[in-house]
Amino acid sequence: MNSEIAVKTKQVFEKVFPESTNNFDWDRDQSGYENWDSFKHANLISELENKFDIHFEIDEIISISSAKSALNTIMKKKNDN
Amino acid sequence: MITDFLLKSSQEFPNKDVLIFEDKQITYQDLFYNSSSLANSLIKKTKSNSVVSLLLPNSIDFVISYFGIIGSGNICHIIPPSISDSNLINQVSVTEPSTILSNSVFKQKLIRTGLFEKHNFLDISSFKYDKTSEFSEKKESDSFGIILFSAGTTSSPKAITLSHNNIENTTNRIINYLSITNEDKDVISLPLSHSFGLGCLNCIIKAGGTAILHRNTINLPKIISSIKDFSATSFAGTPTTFQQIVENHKNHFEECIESIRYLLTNSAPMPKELIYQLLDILKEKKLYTYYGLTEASRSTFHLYKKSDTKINSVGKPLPEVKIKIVSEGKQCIPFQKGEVWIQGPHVTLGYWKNKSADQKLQNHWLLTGDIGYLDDEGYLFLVGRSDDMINIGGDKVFPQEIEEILGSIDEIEDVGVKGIPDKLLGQVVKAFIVLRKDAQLQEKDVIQFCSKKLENFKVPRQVVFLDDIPKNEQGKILRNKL
Repeated sequence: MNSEIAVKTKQVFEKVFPESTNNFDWDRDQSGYENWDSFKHANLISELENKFDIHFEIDEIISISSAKSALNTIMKKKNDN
Repeated sequence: MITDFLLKSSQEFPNKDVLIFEDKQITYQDLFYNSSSLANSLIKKTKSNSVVSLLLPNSIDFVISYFGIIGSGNICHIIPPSISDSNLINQVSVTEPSTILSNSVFKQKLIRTGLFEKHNFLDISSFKYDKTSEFSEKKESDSFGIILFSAGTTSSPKAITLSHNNIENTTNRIINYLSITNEDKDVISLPLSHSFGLGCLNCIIKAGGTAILHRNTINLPKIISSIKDFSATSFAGTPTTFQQIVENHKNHFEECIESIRYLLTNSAPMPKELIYQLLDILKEKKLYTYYGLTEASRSTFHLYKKSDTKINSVGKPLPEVKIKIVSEGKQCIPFQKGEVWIQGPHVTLGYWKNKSADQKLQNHWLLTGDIGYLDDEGYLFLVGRSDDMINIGGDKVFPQEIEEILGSIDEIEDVGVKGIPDKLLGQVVKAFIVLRKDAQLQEKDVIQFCSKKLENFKVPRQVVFLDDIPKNEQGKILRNKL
């Protein structure tokens, strides 16, 4: 796991889902968050794009369903570039 | 009673799937047993006619809880799962529920807001069902069945009561207009905590059909695939959802809609170009819109056509619904603009513990606050309510609500809010802030503050700091200059 990308990804999740800061879990999926709805998802994508200066494709946006899947998607994008 | 929808369909189609959700499904008989089992448990724990709050996302548990609470003779206060902590506290203080029915994920929210200690809590995910139960409570048709809060766009959110008769009337009218039968399968990704989604659920269950339920609209390709996978006949969505489909998933959508009879949209004006794009895709299949408020659901319907000369209309009132336009106390003539007034058996009987809001009801007419006109054939056209309204993925918010919250921050001297375009949601909120002298407030502080006070979608996506907010001579913010 790339530690810098992981730290930044965790920071974004803690910013978008502040109520989960105390019990952050890389594997927790959307249903485990009390408010991961369409709006939060759009916020999350926007924050991740700004943080890493990347642009997600539609299939990547949809595939992000946990902190771990976000991290994997970002790392793959970074490696591809 | 609303529960008669489920009772009747479970007798006619006991072994048919009523709900398909993710990798689970439930038959009419099991939904009936589980709901009535929950109802009978609630009867033992609560006084009849008390409020029971329901805080769950779209799920089979939501539907069991909805019918269970109503079947217990209590009033079902439906709370949107995206609700902010402060609005949750406000809603619960108004409805004073005897019990809050939710799950372990939302238990943390209730603990955080101090509500867990003050109210009975029932975790539906660990409830033990009794398979031999039956609904034992009977209610008068004009007794309250549901409380939903208004979005609070023009003032603070109001608790809207809907009687069993209101819901039955609306449901019957939609079923008749859209010819919904037990053969139908409806894809529902709209929130069931909203009148639009809940109406779809009521219709498909009363008709004896099947709901293909989704948690939300994040995964549109999966939702579209479910149309084909289950040979769905209808799909309802906000204009934002259909815009995303046309822009990003058009080919996939075209491949999956062979079984579709109709699409239904609402919540915001549908751009003409999008209507024509959808009609091109749909060919002979139908595309409907409607006009309604939580207080008077589905008051009109309109079937879009390619040759439509009234494409900007929201249609004509359905049977038993009366609409008139009123300006300065007088009924308007055709094409004259005024406030839309609605009357009918679907109109709310009143607001919960809110006498001042009841002034919106005069002689059984609902004064909607929406501005519009009727043409000479009785078609309703909405002119709007306010140009300031921000439409965030179909959810409407007025800037004043966000400005009020931001204005409560000591370091902020003045504030203006407006909507800006967003690729996923159509619009999001942008805040313009004037700081007091020597204040050190940063964008992240503003967002963090709003996150605690407002629903997710109302939290500003962008914050800009200015020297002053442009205003007119009357002191009103000139949002087009922000």
